[in-house]
Amino acid sequence: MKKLFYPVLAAILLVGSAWTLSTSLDKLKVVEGYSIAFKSKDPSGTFKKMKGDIQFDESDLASCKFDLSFEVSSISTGNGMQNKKALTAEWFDAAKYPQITFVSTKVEKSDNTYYVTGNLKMKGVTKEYKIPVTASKKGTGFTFTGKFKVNRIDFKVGKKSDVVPSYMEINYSMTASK
Amino acid sequence: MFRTYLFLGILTATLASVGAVGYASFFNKNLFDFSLALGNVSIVAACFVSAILMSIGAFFINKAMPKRGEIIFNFLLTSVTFLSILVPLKFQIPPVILAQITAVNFEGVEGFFPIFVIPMHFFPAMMWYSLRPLFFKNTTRGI
Repeated sequence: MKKLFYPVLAAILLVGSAWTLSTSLDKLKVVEGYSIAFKSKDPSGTFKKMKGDIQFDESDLASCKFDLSFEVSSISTGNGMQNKKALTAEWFDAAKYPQITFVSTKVEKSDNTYYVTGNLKMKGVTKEYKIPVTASKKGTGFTFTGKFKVNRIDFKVGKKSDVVPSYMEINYSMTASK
Repeated sequence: MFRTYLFLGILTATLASVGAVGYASFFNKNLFDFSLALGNVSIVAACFVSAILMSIGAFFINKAMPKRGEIIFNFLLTSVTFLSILVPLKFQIPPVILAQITAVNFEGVEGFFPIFVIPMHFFPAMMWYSLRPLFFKNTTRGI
């Protein structure tokens, strides 16, 4: 019995590690509940922290509401130096304006696409945007996806430059469950 | 005897995991962020799988060939380690993960994935070679 202890321990360690390895790789297929990615020729990235409330009722668009905020400090461009630079006063000025917010004022539907009109506030500047949204049912909730363009110069995020494009394409995907 | 090989394997796995997780964290933070494609749990599990296999392999090879077992095992370990780099070279990142990695980095960043992973393939073997003399005083002499 005593002789078997170490071989059994080795077998448990081996099988346990192999199982952990295979399941942890499987988990990669699970996408986070939301992602807000901005894309341009250079740079691209995501805001990793978001919070907010979404009220969505297909049959009562007047009651729909999107109230979202993103933490500027959670920006991730995949480049540490670029992340730090993005937080400086020239760009997002995270110390003074720690959040980007979007609060809807109206939701409309045309064909299969919803259009959410609302105020996007970034770096102290508020602009009205009409954002296309594709809503698909997921369990008891909804997944909202879509893309739109934002002119960073409108929000005084950086200066006009030949290197960094003025327009950033925003791709979003978020799940709201009841 | 097997107990000694097993302890060597566990210590190898532990130290290789510490080194690999540290390296991955540095790479993800300062160069390209591949944390969505390869998390710390996967790295630690891979270190344990390889090190426990080393323990089992070393035990049986040395038992079968007491005089030349170590030479053969070391040669095999080095060969397998080098051959294992074919895995990340051939690995296709799942499309869902690739989309997120591209979003936090840039288009085409997956080309750097093997550069991120390949150095970690050498960690367990290097740790094994470093720790083995602490567990076995008498090493096989050359031919």
